[in-house]
Formats: sequence, structure tokens, C-alpha cells
Amino acid sequence: MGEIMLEVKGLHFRHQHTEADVLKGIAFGANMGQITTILGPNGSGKTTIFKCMAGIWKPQRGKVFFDGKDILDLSWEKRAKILAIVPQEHEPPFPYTVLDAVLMGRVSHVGAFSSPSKYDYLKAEEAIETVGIAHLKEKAYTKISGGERQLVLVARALAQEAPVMLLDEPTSHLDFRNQVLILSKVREIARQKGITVLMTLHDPNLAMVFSDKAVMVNEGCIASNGTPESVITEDNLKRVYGIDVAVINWNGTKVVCPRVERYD
Amino acid sequence: MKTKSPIYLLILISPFLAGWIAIFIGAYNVSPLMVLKVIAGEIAPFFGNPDIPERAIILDIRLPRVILAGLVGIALSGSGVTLQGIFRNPLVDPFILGISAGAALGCALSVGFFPEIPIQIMAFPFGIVAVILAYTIASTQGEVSRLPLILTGVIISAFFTAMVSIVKFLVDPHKLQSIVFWLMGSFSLSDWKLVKIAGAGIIAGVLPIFLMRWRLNAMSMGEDEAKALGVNVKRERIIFIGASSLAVSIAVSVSGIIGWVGLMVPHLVRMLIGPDHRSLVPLSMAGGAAFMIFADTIARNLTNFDIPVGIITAITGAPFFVYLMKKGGRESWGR
Amino acid sequence: MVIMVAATSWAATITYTDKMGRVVTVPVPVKRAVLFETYELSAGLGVWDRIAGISRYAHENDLMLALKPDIAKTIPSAGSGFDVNIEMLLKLRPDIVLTWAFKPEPVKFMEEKGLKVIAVYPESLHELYEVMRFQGRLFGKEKKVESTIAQMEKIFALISGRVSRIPPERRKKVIWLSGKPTTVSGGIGVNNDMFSLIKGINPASTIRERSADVSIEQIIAWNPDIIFIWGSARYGAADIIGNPQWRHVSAAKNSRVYKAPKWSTWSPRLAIVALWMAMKTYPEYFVDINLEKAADDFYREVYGIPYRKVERIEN
Repeated sequence: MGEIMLEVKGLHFRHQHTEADVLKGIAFGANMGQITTILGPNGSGKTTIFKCMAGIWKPQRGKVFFDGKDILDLSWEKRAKILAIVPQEHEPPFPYTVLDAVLMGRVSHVGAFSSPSKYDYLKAEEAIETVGIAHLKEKAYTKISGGERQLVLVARALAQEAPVMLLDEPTSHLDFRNQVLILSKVREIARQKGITVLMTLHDPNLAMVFSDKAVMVNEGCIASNGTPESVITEDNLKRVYGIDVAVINWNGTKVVCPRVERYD
Repeated sequence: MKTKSPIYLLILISPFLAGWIAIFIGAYNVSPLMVLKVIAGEIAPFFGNPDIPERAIILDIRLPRVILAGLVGIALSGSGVTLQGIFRNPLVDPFILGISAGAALGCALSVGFFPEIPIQIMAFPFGIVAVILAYTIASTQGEVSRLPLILTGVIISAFFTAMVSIVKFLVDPHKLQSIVFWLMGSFSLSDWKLVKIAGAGIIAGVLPIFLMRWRLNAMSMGEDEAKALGVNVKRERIIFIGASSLAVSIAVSVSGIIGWVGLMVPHLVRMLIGPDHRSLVPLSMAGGAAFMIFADTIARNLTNFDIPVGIITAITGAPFFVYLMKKGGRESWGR
Repeated sequence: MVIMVAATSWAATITYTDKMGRVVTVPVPVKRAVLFETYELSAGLGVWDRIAGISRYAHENDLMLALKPDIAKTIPSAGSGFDVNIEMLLKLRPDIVLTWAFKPEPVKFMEEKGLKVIAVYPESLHELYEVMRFQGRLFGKEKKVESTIAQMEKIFALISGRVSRIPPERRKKVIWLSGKPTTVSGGIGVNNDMFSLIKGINPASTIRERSADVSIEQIIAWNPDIIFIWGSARYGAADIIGNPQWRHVSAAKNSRVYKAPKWSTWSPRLAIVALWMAMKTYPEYFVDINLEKAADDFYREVYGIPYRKVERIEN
């Protein structure tokens, strides 16, 4: 087990002109080379945590420590060198090639008045190789499938050479096959490159299979925090999602199955 | 810059080609041989350069006019491609967003009420104000979506144009003529003095855009993503918009409002070489220069009148735009 | 354009077909006229009491101010030929409104409001005389108009007499520049008529327009000997003479570029402008003529004031 690299401490957030806190003191840690999944229903605060970490929204209180530095306090450029983000869905404005799209990950390494160098191209190509989409390099990334596009975004985050990667619901717009492919690839990358991966997921089964650690969020608070098996339990799911489930042991792992009345 | 195909080179040299041809054409009949003689005489005085009328025609009338047209084309296209990238919207250009009208108002105020102040100095702040207004009015929670931005730009443009009309009304009708000039766009009074002014101002505006052009790729991904990639969006947007406005304001101050160039040329170039701003920005600028020179050559030679070039760009621009939208429009902006 | 006088039992009327082809019947003599245009024509008729309203530009006009210094206070303005203030106009209860045909929309607008409107746009000396005579009829000042025309004809005769002696090969090429140095007067209009009168050759007369924007190359190709600049242009002779772009144009080379006075050419003053132009074009033929004296005589005859009371011609 790697030591804890990323520490979220005491995150409080509410929208301007509102009374109620959306986040009420979120705190957890994530380890190097591991996937930490944030689970929770819609409106629980998952996306808010994500936006606060990315610097898009400013939390009223709280810090996010990485390697001793509070990344919330950094300039955009410095933060991007530590934290790379893979967004959920993406409306491509123009048909950039896959290579050009991945190359954009190098922005934080290229000065404002410069253009990418050979080295930047090298890193981009490496990322493309790692993710396994080299055959798509020259294709317009608007013309590839949704799953392939998600991989492009992962490659871009990789090209950023940031030790932390944040993925926001990477599977929500994908079909079953692609969901599994993406998450496998992400785990492979996390292990190989020692990246701290933080991921929001809605599907408890995928979380169970692919996480090393799980954090369940409910109504702006941490409901549970620990190994997937300890967090994704029948009680927790009932409490947080309001759904009866059965968590079944199978073949050394656990499977979540909603308990629904048969309708015959 | 990736020089993948000969198209890149062709677009890059197109302004020089257009300029070269333009020098040979004009109301005063100068034989091609004479043109060459005059030019040779300038480069190497050994050929002899007597001050004959043809020399004035080629070197003091056609050449500065062609260069000025090229500079203005660079300013309009460069600004157009930048605004399209920043606002993620292929349907904007400085004319649509109201920058041109704003600058024209600055010019009109200078001509009408403050003749002591050089028009360039009044044009720029008003150009900036126009785009800031358009941007501020159109944004909700810090994001500007496509349609509101275009609509707001159209409104701002109409507003500033109306203000120019008010100035026209209030001002001595004898100064009126000059104000109408701003609204129509023309290179008829080009000379070396204007070339120097335009050169300085337009290059000052276009240079930061050129240097920062790769960042437009990231900016075009949207504000949140650009921030996540490490772009200081607020600061860089100010630089891009400020530089564009400067270039456009100077262009308007020397040649009046010329529309459509900033919209059409980046589109066309994007269709030919793709959206990567590393190449798109310089090639749009080159294409803009070539197009402007071409349009002006038509404007001054089609009839024995010197047609305002803004008319030529509108006549070619509007139908071309419709054609673009119908044909492969969706492709060139990736949807 | 036809003027017919029809006598009815109580009042005379005249019927006039104006520049826009509109046929208008007006009872004469007119008691309350509003003049958006051609006010300089009526200035010498001594009918101030019958002018109910005038163009706002008349309040700044040198001749009007010289003849009636309190004009701004005594004769209100209802706008101008460009922009009509309809409420002000209606308040003035005019019998007739004289404006120009350049902007047809205000004409229709005023007509709809029940006003009698005449739209003029004299494009030749002949048409100018017609409008002057029509004004004479309107105000019952036919005699004065005829005497003004006689004064103008006297000057034109003087000019003609001299310039007809000039052999065709010695005639000079002349052009008239207006708002921009590249806007020239074409083959139609009062300016061109004046050129014909003084036997100057207008190379731009091939363009059958009042005014045309041409490229500067075209002007160089025409190579005029004399250049006249519109009195209200923002630039002057020095801008042409010292300008390297114009250096091969004969007029610029020989410093024969002259800026006209800021006088309207729709005015009897046209005669003096024509004389000035003739003298600038063919000075050798007018050595014995003193322009100041000729102008002074003219102004006294037509307007009853000395020449020095108005804006003088430069140089």
C-alpha cells in the first residue's frame, strides 16, 4: 500500500447567496498508484467535490494537500502540473485530430507565448501508445466512438504528466463494453505510472470491481470511507440510496444486486 | 508548423501572389514591362529610376494600397479566427461582435468633435468597450453560449452604428462626408503614412495572437477544461480580446468598416487545413491578406468608379456563407 | 417643368411640376413659405416677412447672416432637407415648403401631412434660372428675379466673351473635387455646366453622374491642368500640392489647385464663382478684370450689401 499522497481536509462549500452548505466538511485521502472511487447519489455533492478540487468553484473552507502543498492555493498552471482532469462528456467545438487533442495536455508545460516542442509531441505520442489508441492518431476526434473519445481524454490527462488524475463519471455515456475497457485501462495506468486516481462513479458494481478504496458521500457528508467491501454494504446502500440490495459473495469478490419484487 | 501538404505553402504565399498581380492592374495604364522596370529601378538604382508618372503610380499609389489592404486583411482574419476560438463559435467575427462599429464610433467622434486627437487613439477604446459590452451582456454565470453572443453582438453593432448616425446628424454637414467613409470601408485614400500607422498598430495587435496561437486550441475546449489544463483563462482571454480589438480598431481607422472577411476566411482555411490553431492562425492571416488584396483590386478596377471594398466583401461574403452553411458547415465545426 | 398661371376669381395660382415629377398647385403670392433649400435665391428678394421657416443651415450661412443678422431669432428652423422636424413645420403653418429632391422620403411624408411641397434639384444653369423664376412667381417678385438673372448673365457674358477667343488646343483640363480628394464632379450638374461656360474641359464628364468616387490613378491618367476643391471640404490646396501621390498631376506640379469659397452653387453667387474659376483657369484673358470690384458690384446690385460683408474667396 502506498502512503497517502492526496489529502482532502475539511471542505465546506455553498453556492453564493444560499444558506445551506452543499459540502459539510468533506475529508478523505487517496493513495499513489491506487484508484479511489467517490460514490453517492445525485445531489450528494460528488460533482461539487470534483469542481472544488479542480479550482472551478471556490470552497469557503478547506484544503487539498498533495505532497505538502495546498493545490487550491496554486496558480492554474501549477495546479495543472499536479492535477489532471478527465471530464465526463465533451462537446468538441472543432474536429481536432486525436494527436492535437492529446497534445493539449501539454499546456501547463508550454509557455504562454510558445508552441509545443518535439519533447511535448513525444510525451503526447507516448500517452497515446499507453492508452492504446495509436491507430486513431490522425483521425478527427469528433469522428470516433464515444468510448474511443473517452480514451483520448484519458491520454490527454496522461500527457499532462500530473501525479493525480481526476475522472468525473468516466462511464456514464458509454456502453457496457467500453465501460469495462476504460476502467481497466485506467487501473493499468494507475499501477504502471504510480498515478493517484480519483474517480466519481455511480455504479456500485463497477466501483466494487475497480476500486482500491471507496468513499461514499451523502448529503454533503462522508457516509463511509475505506475498502470497497467495507463501504459498499447492504446497510450503506440502503441508507444512502434508499434501495434494498443484496451484496453477494462470488468467486472471491462481491456483487451488488438490487432486491426488487418479481412482478409475476 | 506542420507543413503536411502543399496547401499550406500555397495559402502562405497567396498574399504575395495577389499583391504581385494587383500591382499590374489599375486605371492608369502601365504596361507590364514598365511595371517591372520601375520595380527593378527601385531595388537596384543601377537600372535607372527616373521620376516618371508610372513610378508614382506603382510605388506611391498601388504599392501602399496593396500593402494596406493586406495589413487590414491580416487584422480582420486574425481577429476573426481568435474570436472564433475563444468563444468556441465559428459564427463570430469582429464585425458581428460590434468591435468594428465601436471603432467606427471612435473615429466618427474624433472626426466630428475632437479633430486634435488622432483617430487611432479614439478608435481603440471604443472597439474594446463594444466587445466588453457584448461579452458582459451575453454571459450568464461566466459562460457565453453561442446564440446569445451573436445576437448581443448584432445589437451592440446596431447600437454603435446608430451612435455614428447621431454624430453625423450633430456634426457640421461638411464633415459628414468623411464620417460616411467609415461606414462603408474603402482603400481609396491609401498612402505610405497610413501604411506606417496601420503596420505598427496591426502588428502590435497581431503579434501576441500569433505567439499564443497554440493556446487557442485549449481555449476552444471551453473555460472549465482550459482551466483544468492549466490555462489562466481570464488573463489570456483579456490578452486575446485586447489584441484582436487593437488590430481591428486600427484597421477600421484606416479603411472604415469592412465586414465578412473575419468570418469567411478563417472558415475557408479551417475547411482546407483543419482546426489546429498552430497553422490556422498564420494561414488565416495570410488568406485574409490575399482576399482583401483581391477584393480591393476588383473594387478599384471593375468599373471606372472606386467602389467601396466593403461592398465587394459583402457581395461575396453573404452568399458564400450561406453556401458554407448548407454544404459542409457541420463538418467544419465538428458536430 | 412647366409653369402655368391660372387666374381665378379671387386669387392667382400657379401649377408647377417639380423635379420628382409631382404636380403642385400653389396660390400666389405666398405668405408663409418654409425654405429648406434655395434660401440663398430668395435672400435678395426682400421677402423676409414671408419666410415663415428656414433650414437650420441657413442660420450659419454667411450671406444670410450678412443680410439678416438676427435670422436665428426671427426665422425659426424646422430642420433641414436631410431631416425634417414635422411638428415644428406644422406649427409654422406654411403655404408652401421648398426642399430638395435628393431625399424623397421626407417629401412624401410632408405631403401626407397635408403640406404643399415642392422638391427641386437644379442640375444645370438653365434649371437654376427656372427655380429662380418660380420663386419670383411665388413671392410676386418676378421683376427682381429677372434683374438678378440679368446681373448673372452680365457676368456670364463677360466670361463667354473672353473665353470664346481661346483656340480649342489651348483649352485647359479642369476638375472639381468634393468631399474626398477622389470624389470628382461628373458630366451632370451645375459644376459641369460652369466648366462648359468657362470653356474648361472636364475629363470626368465621361461619367454621367453628378459626382463619382474614382481611384487616384484615374485622376492622374486624366492629368487635369487646374483643380478646384469644394469650399467645405476638410482638405485644402496644400494637401494636394505637397502630396507625393499627386506630384505628376499637372495641376499639382504647377500649384494650380484652388479651394472655392464656401458658397452654395444654388445661388446667384454662382456667377461670381464662375468668374473666379474662369480667371484662375485663363488668367491671361482676364488681366484687366478686378475680381473684388466685380464681386462688390454684383453683391450691391443683387443683395444691396458690399462684398466685404460676406465670406470672401481665398487667395
